[in-house]
Amino acid sequence: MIIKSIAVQDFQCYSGPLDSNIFEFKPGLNVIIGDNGSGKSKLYDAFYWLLYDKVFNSSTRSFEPTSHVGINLASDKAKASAQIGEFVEVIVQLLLLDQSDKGSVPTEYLLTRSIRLEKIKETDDFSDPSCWKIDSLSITKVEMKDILNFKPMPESGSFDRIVKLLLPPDMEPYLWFQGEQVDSLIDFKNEDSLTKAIDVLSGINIFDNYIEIATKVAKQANESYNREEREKLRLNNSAKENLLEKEKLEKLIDKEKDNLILIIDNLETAEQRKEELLGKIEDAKELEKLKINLESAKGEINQAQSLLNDGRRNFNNNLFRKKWLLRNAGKFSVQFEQMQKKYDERREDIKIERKLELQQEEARKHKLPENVPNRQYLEEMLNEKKCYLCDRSFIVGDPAHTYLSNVLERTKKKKVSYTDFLKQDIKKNIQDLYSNAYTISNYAIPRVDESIQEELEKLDNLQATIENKKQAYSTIEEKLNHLLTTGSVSQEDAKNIVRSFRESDDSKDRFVQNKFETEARLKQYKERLSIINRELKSSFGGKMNPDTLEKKEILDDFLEIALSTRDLVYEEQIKLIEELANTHFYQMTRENTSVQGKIILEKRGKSHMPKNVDENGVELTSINDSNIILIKLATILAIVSAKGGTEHHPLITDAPTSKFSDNYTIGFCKTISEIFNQSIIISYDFYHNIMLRERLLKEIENLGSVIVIEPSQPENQRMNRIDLSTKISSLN
Amino acid sequence: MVDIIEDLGKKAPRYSMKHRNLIEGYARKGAIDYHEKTEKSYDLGKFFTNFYEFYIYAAYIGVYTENPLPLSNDYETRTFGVPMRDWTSNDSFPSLQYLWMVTMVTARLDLNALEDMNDKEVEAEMLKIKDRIEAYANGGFEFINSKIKENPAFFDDEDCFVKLLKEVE
Amino acid sequence: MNQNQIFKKFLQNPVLKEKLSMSKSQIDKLDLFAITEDKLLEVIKTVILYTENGDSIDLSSRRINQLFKKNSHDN
Repeated sequence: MIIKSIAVQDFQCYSGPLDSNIFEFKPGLNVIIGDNGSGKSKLYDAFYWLLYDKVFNSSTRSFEPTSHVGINLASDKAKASAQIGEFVEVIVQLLLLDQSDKGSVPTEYLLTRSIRLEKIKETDDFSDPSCWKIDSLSITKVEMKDILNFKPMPESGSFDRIVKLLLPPDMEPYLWFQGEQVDSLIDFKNEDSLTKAIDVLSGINIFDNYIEIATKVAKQANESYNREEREKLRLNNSAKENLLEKEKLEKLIDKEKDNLILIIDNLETAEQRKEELLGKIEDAKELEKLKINLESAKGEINQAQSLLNDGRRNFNNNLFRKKWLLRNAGKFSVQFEQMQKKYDERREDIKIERKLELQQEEARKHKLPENVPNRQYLEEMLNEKKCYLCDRSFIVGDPAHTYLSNVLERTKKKKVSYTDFLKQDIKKNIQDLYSNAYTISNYAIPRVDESIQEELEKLDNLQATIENKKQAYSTIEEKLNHLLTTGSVSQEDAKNIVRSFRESDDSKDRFVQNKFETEARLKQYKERLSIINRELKSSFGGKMNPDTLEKKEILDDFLEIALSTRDLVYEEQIKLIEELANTHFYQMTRENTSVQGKIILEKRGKSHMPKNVDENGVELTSINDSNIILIKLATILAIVSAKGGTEHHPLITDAPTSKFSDNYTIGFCKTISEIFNQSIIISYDFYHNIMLRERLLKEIENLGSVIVIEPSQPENQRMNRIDLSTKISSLN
Repeated sequence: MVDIIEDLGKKAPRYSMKHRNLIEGYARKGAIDYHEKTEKSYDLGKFFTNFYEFYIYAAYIGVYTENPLPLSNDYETRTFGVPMRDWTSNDSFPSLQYLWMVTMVTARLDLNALEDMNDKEVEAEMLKIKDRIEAYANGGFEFINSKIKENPAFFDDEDCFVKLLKEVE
Repeated sequence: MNQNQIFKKFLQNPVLKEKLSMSKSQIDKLDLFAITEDKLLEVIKTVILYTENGDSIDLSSRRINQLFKKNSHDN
């Protein structure tokens, strides 16, 4: 089925009769080019209204039934010029050519939808709903060409049938879309988006029906088998126990099977989660590491800075601590030493002088009066209380005795000390001062310059260390910022990702273990069940009705086969889509060498997700918006071509390439022109970009009509819409 | 009998109020200058941990420049309120003792004569030593002041006071 | 996929191949309208022939059950 033409009468900006607003299409790529506000989306609306009796309301972003839109469908020009009692008829007409039956002559169908308004009142505002009566609302008509003439077809459902032939409802989303819908059509975050597509294109639903039937009949067969078996075993005592165990085992097996499904589901979820995080975990780990490094670098800078501050603060303390202040004072120590020497010598001299004086004095004092006997006699006389001279005794206390005692006492020798002849003794003070000076001048002062140099170098080194650490810090910071801008994770996420990754890894391990254990139990139960079944069988010795048994066995097999065949078909379809998506992806990107990688459809739980990977299968996370749209478009095209829809159905799309560079746009056009028998794209891209328009006309081999639409009045010069019509001109 | 070290230790030398601003500009009043609010000025603004450290420094500058300048009566004079025996921060006391020695040398103090004096007389001599230290410090401050006037940028570097020592070699 | 293509899909299933006592070439020759003795194949053919998208589940189940009744009746 291809679209030969669409004609529009008084539909919004397309004012005028059908033959003045006709777009004729050919097989191949048809392009409708228009500026913003030129009527591109109105044409899309006209298509949609004709096919589905709904109009897109751009303010609510939803489709509304014709009854809601009412008189707004009609062009302002037509409404303004109508007189009371006159009609405005809005018509959209689609001419289709059906070549699907290759053996016979192609059939032409003419689909028409119309609405007729009658003007009943004259007011200034022709858009006032009260001025209009809807004479007939959304009338459809189908005509079929009979050799020369179109003849009406009986209405009953033929309109809808032909629309479905043109755009089968299940494929409609992939054949008929606006650029902005591409994102949600194949949503990388929505697991179902591809499953839906696969259901659509493989008719996998029919297999789901088979499974439902198989389940039902197998259940029935098993029930009648069990009933019969129980009946037969009723009176057999030894079988009774087995029967009980069998029932128990069957229940356990069912339970474990359910368990297993749940575990597998959980396992898949955990694996998916892990997989999702895998792309980010390296960045996250790196980010965490860099953050720690940054912190420690900061700490090191602070530490070095505080060492430097301390060093600077303490630098001048060394004037005293390391005696830098005395740098020039060494000579005084020498002078003091001489001073001290002189002092000592002089002191010795004085000492001798003074001693001599003292001795003379002493000697003078020691001399007894002339008439007194010598000291020895005198002492003896005093002891014996008898005078040796006059040989008389005397009593202690009488004047003679007292006199002699005093004389003796006075002349006794005294101990001589230095202070006896010096008023002050500063020797120790001088020694102390000298010893202080000696240490300083011999040990500290000679090292001052060296020590100053050392301390200055220390400060310089610290300063250099800080500079180095600051350099290291900014290097880490740069890396961190680079990772934050180019990597897949934000700083806040990093911690969570690392944690979640560990968690999903743990739960994956746990579920694997669970699965293993459950499978082992299930196996054990099944083995036991088959033993019991054998025993039961022998206990009634093949007395079972062979038909019942056969039916049960065959229908059990059937269920198993229905299930596995569905899976096979599903996998096949996935492979097919993947293959086709890559073919289309390469077709679209062949002009652009910068695009790398391929599309894979990766199993995620029960569904599949498209992913862009490099040649090693590693997900490309740094791809830009237009690459993502390309992947999605490739997947959409794959879905349609897998269904074989490219031959029988047109692709109609509005602004699919608005995010693309020129090469991508041409690549997309070439690709759809090659794979679709007919496609119609409505686009702004070629309007101002004349180079691109030329490339379109030159490079696309299977090119249909290229049509430019322009409003009769440019948008900025438009005072009112009364005179607005649309100019349609063909470029080829 | 007088212990001259002990006697000098008891004394608190005076400085001219003319140099108060200079002293405050480069030295903290005590180990931590609580008048300074910000870490920056605490860190960088002051070169001496104590007023008296700067005083000792100035005295040595006075010695090195051979410029003892007795305190005049034009300005009020003050002590730091701390006797010299307590000038101990940053191990500054040995340098102070050395200064005493230096002063005794330059004053050509007759040590033997000292021993022949009575206590009063000795104390008077020690007072002269103290006066001389004051004169050195005063001369030192004068020198530093003139240096600042001449080249203010000289005192921007943290090692300016070390460099100054080399200049007055 | 038409019904015969669906039947071929079933025949490609290794699980089914294992259950049929037929050679590969015999299996390859089979189509939806070939007559076989195999009841499992009959069941599959029945389900394909009588199931369409929509409300045909009961009809197909009935047909399958009839297949067994008819057979048992014949026997």
